[in-house]
Amino acid sequence: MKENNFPNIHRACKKKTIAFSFLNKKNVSLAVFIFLLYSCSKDLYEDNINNPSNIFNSFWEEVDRNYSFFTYLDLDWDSIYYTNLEKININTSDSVLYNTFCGMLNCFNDAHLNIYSSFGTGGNISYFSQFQSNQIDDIESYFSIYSSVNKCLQYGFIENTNLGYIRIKTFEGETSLFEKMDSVVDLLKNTKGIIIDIRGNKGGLISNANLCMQNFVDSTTSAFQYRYRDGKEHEDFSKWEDYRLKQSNKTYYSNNIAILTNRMTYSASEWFVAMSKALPNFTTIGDTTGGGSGIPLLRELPNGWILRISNSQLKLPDGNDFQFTGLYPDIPLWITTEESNNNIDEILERAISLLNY
Amino acid sequence: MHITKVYIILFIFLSIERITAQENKSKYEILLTPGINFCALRNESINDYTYTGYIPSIVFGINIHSYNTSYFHIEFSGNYGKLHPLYINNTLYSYNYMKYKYISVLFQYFKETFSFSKNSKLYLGITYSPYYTVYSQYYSNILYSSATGYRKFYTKNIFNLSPSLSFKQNWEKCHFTINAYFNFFNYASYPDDNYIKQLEDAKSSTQYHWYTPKEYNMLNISLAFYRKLTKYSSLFTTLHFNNKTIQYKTDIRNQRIAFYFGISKQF
Repeated sequence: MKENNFPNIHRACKKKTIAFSFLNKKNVSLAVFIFLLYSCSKDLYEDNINNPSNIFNSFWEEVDRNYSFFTYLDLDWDSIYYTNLEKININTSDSVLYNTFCGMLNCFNDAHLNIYSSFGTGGNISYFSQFQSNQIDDIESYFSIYSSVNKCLQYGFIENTNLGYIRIKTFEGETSLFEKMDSVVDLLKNTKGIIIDIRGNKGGLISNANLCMQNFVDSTTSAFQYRYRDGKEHEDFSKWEDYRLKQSNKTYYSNNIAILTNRMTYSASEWFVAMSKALPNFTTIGDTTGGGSGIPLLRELPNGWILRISNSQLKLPDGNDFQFTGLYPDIPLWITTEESNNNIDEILERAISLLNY
Repeated sequence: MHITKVYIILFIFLSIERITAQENKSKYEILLTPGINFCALRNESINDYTYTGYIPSIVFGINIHSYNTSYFHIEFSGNYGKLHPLYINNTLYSYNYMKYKYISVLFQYFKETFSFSKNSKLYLGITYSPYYTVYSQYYSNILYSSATGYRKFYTKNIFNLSPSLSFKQNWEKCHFTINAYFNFFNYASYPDDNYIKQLEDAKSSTQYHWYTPKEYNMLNISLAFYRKLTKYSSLFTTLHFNNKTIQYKTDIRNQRIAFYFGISKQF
């Protein structure tokens, strides 16, 4: 037995020798070298997501780098940084950080500038409450037929007239919802005129606004121009790009159209109004629109909160942007409190009388 | 714009090297190195997160040294993979990942123009170095209903021709090379923020331009050091920098296994 064990021990020793043969000085040095490099490299990508100062700096830089209307405002963003930096330290809680961000964003009075956090949405959230609504809740008494197509679109026929009515409640949603616009216009194609009510429509996707406009375009038309923030400086922008309305193979409606607007007509809805300005048969009636021409950009902060920032400028054919000012209607009109209490929609009535001449 | 890219280890599964060398005849080397690359990326144009993951990579190179003192170098390299963010609270995202794609080709031709000594020579030549890099972040953040989409960031250079200069110093067990080339006639597309956002109607289109040398303003300098450690192992270190990027790479090779470590930072 002993004799038989010797070769096994010898073999085991030999295996061990082979197994550890790579542990020579050079290979150990090599392994140590790689380990050191790995350790150094880790510092390069170590995140500090729980560091409030890091999050604060990132927040400030994202706004500084991407916001497109600094040149329109008399606002010292650097000074706002230093004022608020004093509140931030390593022990700053998330709620304090969130409230600080909300306060900083409120300085802009731009409803496209918001922070989305686990505490909710903040920054300019009371923007619309400063305006009169110029809209009544129940307008169905004006119609002989009134129907909802989906959650975004409603249509009807104005009683005792040959006028159609379309209400677009929002431009937020899937494209398929707005493709129904073609069917609605087809139903109203024999009317003398159409009233498109976008009061209270706070926007959504510009592509959906464009989709809804296609039934009223018979040739390619340049509506306005837009450009994006593109660089570190507040004046850095891309080249102006034409925003074109294109002819489609949908039902074309050529009669007169009135668009009803109020201060809650914002963002993509205002783009819809701006597109209509390029077409000869549109008239806008109501209040000035909300004044948000910028296309919002979403950015992520290091802690996962979302920051929404206006990132573009727009130039109407007259050379002006409607950011902050809104689009002034062709026929300005407001609903008085008395009219509102009596369920009289003065703006709708004026549109009816305009189209039903 | 800051991009930090860290290559920790490249483990090469296969390395084919073929060298022929005879007196007064040309010599060529072929190198094929597919591998798995542990990659850590942070692109501040996209967001503040660091994305990591193991991604496949390949480097294919050919060196041809002519007996009449000129040499030709071709190198193709590419990475493609999916990376995931570090330290991000999963409760904030339904999904969040980055697809990273990198392809580069390098053609260099050099001709010996001056010899300081037998082991110390100066070459003049030309370089053609197109590349294509795309970072695409796909994400869905649950804090905001519209925060679903993707961001895209890229740099592309389709055509360039660059006058080049090379200095080589050979010792018995090590070589030292300095390469410099200045980009001329660039047909390229640099990203601006139009291309990275997830906005509706924001076209993710490529806009190429011819850049004059002054506009492109890209002077590339590479320092390379090679040392034979043992009969079968070697160390190869390169430092490459230009006006926008600095890259460091060390390659320690033992027979057919190699370890890479690299860092690149874009300004």
